[in-house]
Order: sequence, then structure tokens, then C-alpha cells
Amino acid sequence: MHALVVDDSRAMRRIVSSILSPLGFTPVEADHGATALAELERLTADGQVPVLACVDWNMPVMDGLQLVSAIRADRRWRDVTLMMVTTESEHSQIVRALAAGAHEYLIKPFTADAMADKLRYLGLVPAAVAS
Amino acid sequence: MSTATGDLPALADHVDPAVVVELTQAVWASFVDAEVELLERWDVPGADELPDPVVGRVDIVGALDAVVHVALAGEAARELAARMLGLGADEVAVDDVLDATGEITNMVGGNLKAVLADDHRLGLPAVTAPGLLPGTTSGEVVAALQWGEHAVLVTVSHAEPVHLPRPTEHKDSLS
Repeated sequence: MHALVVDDSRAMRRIVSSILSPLGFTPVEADHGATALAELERLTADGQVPVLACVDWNMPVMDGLQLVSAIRADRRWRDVTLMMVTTESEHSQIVRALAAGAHEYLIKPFTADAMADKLRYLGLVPAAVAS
Repeated sequence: MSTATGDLPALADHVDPAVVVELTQAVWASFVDAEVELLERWDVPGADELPDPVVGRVDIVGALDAVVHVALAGEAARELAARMLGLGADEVAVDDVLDATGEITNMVGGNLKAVLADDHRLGLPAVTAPGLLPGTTSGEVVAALQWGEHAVLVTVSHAEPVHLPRPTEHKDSLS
């Protein structure tokens, strides 16, 4: 069960990956939207489309909102659950992300429990594991 | 704590130093050190408390153009990186210090942007060369905090049209 972790901060990718791994995910990291799309193509070619993508908003090259839109525009990735993980916490930004196709929104800073709760809510983690 | 403003728009009218302290503490507790609290202190740390300083910067662009700096001593920045990345102190590379300091600054700046009026945008974080402490001049909002033995300085000042290199441009000078 692959999960794409997209953030331009290596520290944040490490933190998110360290939360996802014990929950049963195999994290695949990308440092911006363009590299994330390349990883998606690679995983898809291998028949391993991720079930989840955790996407930062502010990144160089291709930002998270552009990435969400690109993923939603491709039918091959319609089953990928998209969760924004970002400091962009204004209501207007959350609305923009959800309108673009994100399923959930997690505001930095967050706790491991908060992320697990979101994943449980999304049905990606059994309740017994997430709690 | 805050300083008085001169002719410039009063940042302190828009940025509450207590909020800066609170959101910095929240970032620290989540990603750096939940065991040791980041405590507000009432004296601004001097240069002798921030040797070989590592300074993160992120810009907030909008009606209130501002720049957020997070500064800490080089040793503290290495410890910060070690904690965020789950590494031993001797395993931390310069890139790790730049990345961790930049991300902390990004989170502080991003959360501060959220408490301002709408239509502000956040830039990408950068980390300045060592030795460039942010000034604590008139018009700035200053929050000083204590992390164990380390001082942490967060300033919010009016943006200046300066170019700050991306972290990769500073790797050599930080090693």
C-alpha cells in the first residue's frame, strides 16, 4: 500500500513517512509536484498506484494545488486519496484545495495522532491501528 | 514583547507578539521537542547567545508585507535538525540543518500569515548565511524564547527588497 509524500522539506517528508510506515503504508517521497507526477507515473507503470498522497502546498517548480489538479485530471489516479498537509490554514485556502479535488486537509503543525485520525476517517487505516 | 514603530505602518497593530510565541511553541512541540517546552523569555538574546547563527527567513506578501526570521545558534540548529530527522547529533549534515531551519521558519510564517487579513501569500523559506542575525530595530515585533539551554529569536519586520539565496547556495559557508 504505497503513499506518496510530497514536500520540499526533507525533514517534513521524513516526519510524515515515519507516521505512515507503522500504519502499513510504504512511503514514496517527492520534493515537489513535478517529481511527484514522475513518481506516480513510475508506480503506475509498475502496477502500484498509491492509495494516498500527502501533499504540501508551497513548493518550488509545481505547487501542491497544481499537483492536486493534475492528479484529479487523470482518470488513472481517480482512486488516489489526496490529503493536503500544509501551513495554508485560511478557510479560503482549504476551500480552494477541496474544490481542486483534495479529500482532506491537515494543517502544520500537526501530531501523529491527528494524521492517523484523518486516515482513519478516510477509511485508509483500520480503527484499531489508528487509535 | 514588541518595539515601537516609527513612520512605517505599525506591525504591532497587526501582529501580536503573544501569538508569535504561541504558534512557535506549537511548532516546537509538534516537531522538535515535546519534552522540553519552548518558553517565552523577556530579554532578547545577544549575539553571544547565538554563536554561528543559523537564520531562517520567509516572506509574507500582501497588504502587510512582512518578513519572518527564526534565528538560533548553529549548535541549536544542528540539534533541531537531529530531532526533526530522527538522527544522531553526529549524523546531521549541513543540508539537514538548512532544511530543518527552513521548515520551522515556514511553519511559523505560514501560521502567522493565517492570523493576518486574507489575501496574504507566503513565500518559500530560505536560510541566510551564518553571521547575519536579523536586526531588532524599531518597528519589529520580537519574540524571544528559550529551548533548554538554547535561545530562539523570532522577529517579524517590514519586508525589504533583498535577495536571499536558496539554502543550497549556502552549503559551503555553513559547513
